[in-house]
Amino acid sequence: MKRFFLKQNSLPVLGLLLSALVFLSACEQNKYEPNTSVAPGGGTITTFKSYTLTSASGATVYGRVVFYKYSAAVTLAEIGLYNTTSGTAYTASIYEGKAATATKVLKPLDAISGATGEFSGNKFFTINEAGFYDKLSSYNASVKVMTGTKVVASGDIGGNAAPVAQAQ
Amino acid sequence: MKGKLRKQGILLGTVGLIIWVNLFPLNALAQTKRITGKVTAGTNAELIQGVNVLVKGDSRKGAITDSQGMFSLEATPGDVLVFSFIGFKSKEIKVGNETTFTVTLDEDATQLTELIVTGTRNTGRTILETPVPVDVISIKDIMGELPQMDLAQMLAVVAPSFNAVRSQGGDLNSHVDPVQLRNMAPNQILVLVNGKRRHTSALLITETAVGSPSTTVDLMTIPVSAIDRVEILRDGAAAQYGSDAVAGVVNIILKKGTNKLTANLTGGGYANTGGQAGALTKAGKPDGFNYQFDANYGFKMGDRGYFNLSGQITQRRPTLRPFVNDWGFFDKTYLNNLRTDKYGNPVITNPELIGAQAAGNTAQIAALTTEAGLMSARGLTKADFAVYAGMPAITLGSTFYNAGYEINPTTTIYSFGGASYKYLEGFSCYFRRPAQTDRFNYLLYPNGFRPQMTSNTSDMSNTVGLKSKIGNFNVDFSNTFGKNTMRIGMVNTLNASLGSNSPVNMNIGTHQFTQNSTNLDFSRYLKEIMNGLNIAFGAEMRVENYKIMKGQEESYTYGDAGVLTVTQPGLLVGPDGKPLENGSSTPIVDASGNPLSVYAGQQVTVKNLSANCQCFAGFGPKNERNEFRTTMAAYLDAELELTRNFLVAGAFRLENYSDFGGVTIGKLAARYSLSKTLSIRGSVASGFRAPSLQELNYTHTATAFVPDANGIPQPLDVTTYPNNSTAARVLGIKNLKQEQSRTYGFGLTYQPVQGFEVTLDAYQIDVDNRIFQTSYFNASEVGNNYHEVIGDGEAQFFVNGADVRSKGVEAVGNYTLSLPKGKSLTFTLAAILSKNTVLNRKPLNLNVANLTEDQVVEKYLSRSVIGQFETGTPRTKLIGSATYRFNKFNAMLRGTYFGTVTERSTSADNDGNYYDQTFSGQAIFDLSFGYDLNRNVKVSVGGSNILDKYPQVLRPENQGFYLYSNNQQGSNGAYYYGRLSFNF
Repeated sequence: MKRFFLKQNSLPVLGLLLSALVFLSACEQNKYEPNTSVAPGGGTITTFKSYTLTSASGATVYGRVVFYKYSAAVTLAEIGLYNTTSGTAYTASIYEGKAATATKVLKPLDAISGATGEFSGNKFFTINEAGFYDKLSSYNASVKVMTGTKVVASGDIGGNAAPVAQAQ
Repeated sequence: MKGKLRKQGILLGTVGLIIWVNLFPLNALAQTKRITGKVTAGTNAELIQGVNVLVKGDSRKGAITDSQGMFSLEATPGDVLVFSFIGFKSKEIKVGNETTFTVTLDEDATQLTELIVTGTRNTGRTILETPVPVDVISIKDIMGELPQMDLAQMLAVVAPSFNAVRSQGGDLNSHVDPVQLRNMAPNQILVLVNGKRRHTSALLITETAVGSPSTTVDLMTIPVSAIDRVEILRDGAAAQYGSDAVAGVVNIILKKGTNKLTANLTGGGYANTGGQAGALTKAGKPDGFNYQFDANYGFKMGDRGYFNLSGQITQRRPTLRPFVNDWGFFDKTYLNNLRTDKYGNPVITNPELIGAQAAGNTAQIAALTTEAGLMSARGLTKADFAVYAGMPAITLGSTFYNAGYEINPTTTIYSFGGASYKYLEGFSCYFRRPAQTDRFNYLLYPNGFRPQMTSNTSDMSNTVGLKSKIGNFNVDFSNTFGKNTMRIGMVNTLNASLGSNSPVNMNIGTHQFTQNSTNLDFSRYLKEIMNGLNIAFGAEMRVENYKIMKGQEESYTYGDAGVLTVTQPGLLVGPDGKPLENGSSTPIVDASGNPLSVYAGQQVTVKNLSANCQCFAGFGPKNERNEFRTTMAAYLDAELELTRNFLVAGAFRLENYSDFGGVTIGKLAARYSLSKTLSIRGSVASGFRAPSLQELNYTHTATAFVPDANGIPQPLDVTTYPNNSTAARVLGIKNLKQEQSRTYGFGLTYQPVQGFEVTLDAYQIDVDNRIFQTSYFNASEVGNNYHEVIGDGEAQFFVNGADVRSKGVEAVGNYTLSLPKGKSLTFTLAAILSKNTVLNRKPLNLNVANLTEDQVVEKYLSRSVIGQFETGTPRTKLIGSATYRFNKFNAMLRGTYFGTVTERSTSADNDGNYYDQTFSGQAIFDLSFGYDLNRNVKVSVGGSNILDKYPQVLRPENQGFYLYSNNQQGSNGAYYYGRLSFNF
């Protein structure tokens, strides 16, 4: 080594080591990170209020209507019914006031499939109304399920009934 | 030892000396004195045996150096001693007043006959003198001209019958490159460093080119700059070296040179053009950039020793060869927000759809409920869901040393070893599509994920030994220690059963293999017996330890993200009052279609979420192992030159294993010189390979993918059970036995003129009880309440599955044409024709109730495994090269031809036609140019596979993890490199 460093070889060797250092420090390994490109708002919804829909006189259909808080502006409504008849079309709406007396439709909901007892198109009916869910507990309303003009199930919601299930 | 020798030259010289001494016995004068000394090689300080030492002008006085390089003769102060030896430049030294000399001879590069030490315990023979084929690859001379950067890949392109198929992914298969000889398994080859057994990697590679799982020595842990040459013995040598040397022996000889610094700075990358796959892949920018810096320097320790030190830093970026498929990325539950958690709460997977619904945009709603529409909204293409295969990313640092010190003229202490660290990140798993509901978590990976396996491998080795003489015997006592520790991890993964609390990077366990060999070897050369007899005998004690250590708990547990603990009695319903839905969004109901009645405290598996880390379950407590094995061995080895032209050699070895008993093996070999230029040679040997501790004890649960009716791979959890497990015993799987082999070799060597050598060798290797891995057995197939043993998964095992045969012919030719004015032209050609055959499958008599006998046979040794062994590697391989040198310039052109391969499938169409595929032969070319800028710096550029030849694409039914066949040149395509070599 003594001979090696004392001679003029030391300069190129130094250059060699420096170039090796620069050469190698430039290499970072590739990382293949997962693609997470999605619109905001996905994931599990855990805030909801669920209300009972009871059978109308002479009918056997019953179930629940659920309101999920999706965001401050959007509430998702879902209906789950039992004893609906396959092939029969059902409609549902939110009415003003208690079910027993309500006549004014506030919000028509989507059609319900008789085969599944759920909305026939989208799983959820989207209520695009700021603060709807937050004001639900004082909402003076009810939900009716009908075949044609005949009510087969109904129930109070909001301020008119206590939720059968809820989560904050 | 780097030496050059022509045996007949020594013999003639010896005879000449004897004649002169006997003719003129009275010529000694009164003033003569006894001169002693030793002769070493200038490049590596190695002692040279057989050097002619003559008094100039008086050829009656002279001597020949012994095996320690020592000589002794009578001379006067006025005499001049002439030292000459084939392969070295002669040197003259005046005696003067000195009585002891240390003489260094410089190599003469024009003489090319190598002296080898592998396969013989004599001092050494040339490659044309050995009774069995040995190739000598002078790594230090060729490494500057090769595009390849690591030893295994270098040997694969220059050494006949040597293969190192680099896996392009799949679990841990790409984490260590297996090396093979003669188309046999990586565990049927023995690797030595300076003649001492090298430990294998801890990893059991589950898929190799010849269809059986195998351990292998990780040659990447040895820096190439540390290597002087590699000797490859293409013949069974278990009788000489012990277990594993069934196909042959690779002996890595380390450098010993001093006072010389050599270094290389290499960079390169792949063109990545995508080959002929078209839309099935995504061609990209050049990738797989490699950077490597290596250096070697030898320190002289006084006049008696050397310490040669090497180091290497490597960074390899991955090559990416995606398979762009159309397997369905989003299912309707994902697109329509139908999914729920275990409580029935909605899981919004398509927030874009909610946005469109809130806006009342019917056109957008319609589009977003289709896969194409949602991918478009998110800016995704099919390539984002592609399966990635390719070479792994590697960061490697390694260092090696080789040292020796002469304590006295007959005793030398030596030591060598090294340490290395390798980080590797490989393409290991299929892409986890969002449609696969049992291994999905929106919060962690909304668009799915691609798990990758990592390994941090530390490797240490050390040999310390003493060479001396006891009486007339040369003695070599040494201890060799090696340890390989591989900590295995995963990135971009999850344990789906833990839900969003799952870690995304995990330590899934550590494998460790440790080996310690203690050797005591004696040898003696008896020149008075016929034309010379070399006797060697010795003993070895080897202790091995294999450990599997568990990883972090999340990597092997089953969490409760899908399991509901009922708090109140009633019906199993969600917020909407409807039955909870399972992982497929199907309602969980009783036989009448009503919600289940449940009681408080009841645990209900609502979502069948996959346990363990994806895609490779962590090693848990049930997988932990700490197994030892002790091996004792003794051998006797003899080489006798019956005449100058006739050499016979024999070896006999006893070994006893603590875990499965003893073996006795032997070998006979002979060479006969028909003329000065033509010799024939042959060998017969028995051999064996003990099952590795890894084969005996490895256990793991992995996720296999089996194509469904639509050809889409579906996950299936399979466990490899050790043969001493309950699962094996209930099924009737026996404990593993050793593989026993019989090797036959016959060949000829021909050297018509200096510089032109041809060897032709034929071989046949029969292996009984070859170890393979079975296919998967499930509980319903086995019956007999096997479900109680293995549950819902499937089980596979290692078995002594078949008797196999490998045979072939190897032709190797070298021709060096010396041209005027410093020009030379060297041609090499190696042709290997080989054939592997499964002779018969071993009957296993398994306790299987619900399969036919034929089905059982197919289970324990499937046609795809047999196919991989028989036709999965090229039967024909041709390597031809031409190297031209002209002063400061050199050029090298090499062509490699891989013959056809056929992959056999276990899947078939409705008519019973298997999805087999034969891949046409492939020819690739390497080209490099080198130029000496000055005496210290050389620049070289070139490439491998310069014509960018990709293998054929797999037929659609077989496209899965791979898009291309991996059994020929691989699917990396063209590689180009540049290198600066320094020499001070």
